[in-house]
Amino acid sequence: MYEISVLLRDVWKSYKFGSEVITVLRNVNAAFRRGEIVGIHGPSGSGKTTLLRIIAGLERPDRGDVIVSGYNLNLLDEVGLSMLRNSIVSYIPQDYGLVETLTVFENIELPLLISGVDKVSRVKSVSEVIEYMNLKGRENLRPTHLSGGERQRVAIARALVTTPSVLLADEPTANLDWSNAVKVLELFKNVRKDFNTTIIIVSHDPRVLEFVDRSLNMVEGTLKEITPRS
Amino acid sequence: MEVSPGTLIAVKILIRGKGVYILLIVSLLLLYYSVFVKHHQITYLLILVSMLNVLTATLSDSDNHKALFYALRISGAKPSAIMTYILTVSALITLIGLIPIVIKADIVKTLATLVVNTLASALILYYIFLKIKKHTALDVV
Repeated sequence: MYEISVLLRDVWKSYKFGSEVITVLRNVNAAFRRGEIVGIHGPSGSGKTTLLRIIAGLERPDRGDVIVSGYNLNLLDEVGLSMLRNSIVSYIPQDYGLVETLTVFENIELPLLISGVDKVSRVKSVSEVIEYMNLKGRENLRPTHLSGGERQRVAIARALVTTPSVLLADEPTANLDWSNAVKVLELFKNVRKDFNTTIIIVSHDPRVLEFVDRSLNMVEGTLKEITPRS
Repeated sequence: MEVSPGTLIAVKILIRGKGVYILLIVSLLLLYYSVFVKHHQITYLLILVSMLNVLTATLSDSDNHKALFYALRISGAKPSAIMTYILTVSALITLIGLIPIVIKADIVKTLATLVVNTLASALILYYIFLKIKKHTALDVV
């Protein structure tokens, strides 16, 4: 019996552009098990990022249920969704979302600072995750002084510092050369092994599919399984 | 004393941005006029320039504020932490910009400037936050 981390039931999402209504997600149904790595593949504009944002509680669906670690996101208010993002779900955006005026240490520390963790525990947790992500010696640098691969690792470190049960990565390899992309994807495998984290990776790069347990294809807002492996 | 995360981050972002330095330089110039220029009409000019100074200081760090709002939102900051950040940044910027006014203007004009400048700065920051909240991506803002 598998534990379900994320469950999507009949999820719909539309956007209004002037008088035109564009339906981005149509009747999306999916279940993601605890500790599996799932790739969502599809062309640009197919609704992949919207789906990730909905799972992260950054956007609300027009219709349907999104259940993350037992919490129905429709029943949570803004404060509840914030707490979910702070402790259960971590989202790594394509542009990393790092604050250039803060150091690597301060960027990674941000979720712990928000949740009110005391300074001693913050320093301990951030130091551990810096060690784990092989960022030792980079703590006091600003993100502008880092390579693309290092910036990606800082974004992952910030996402991991609260040890979430679900990790959402939006095009994590898009801004990297393939050798750095492989390192990041291997890192996701280690994270899954060490923390039993459910990892959902959105990518348009078909090579990413080699590193995931199973893949889903998103075409025009609908989700279909393409390579069931387990 | 426990400092709230919003306040702590606001101070870090402010002292590392360029807005506070613009604010300090213009405030020092205005301070010179406050002390040495005796014409009474200068008070209104000072208030006007201080208001523009506060708006310039807020907008010159807008990229930093955007990046921070984005990071705070994806990291799970509660709306109250974001409001604390907005109010702290606005209050600090306004207080620095208020130094030349305090010397020249009476209490009513000083308080009016304090309220108007804080509100103007806070509204700009809140507008930036709303855009980030709506799109939750830097490239579309």
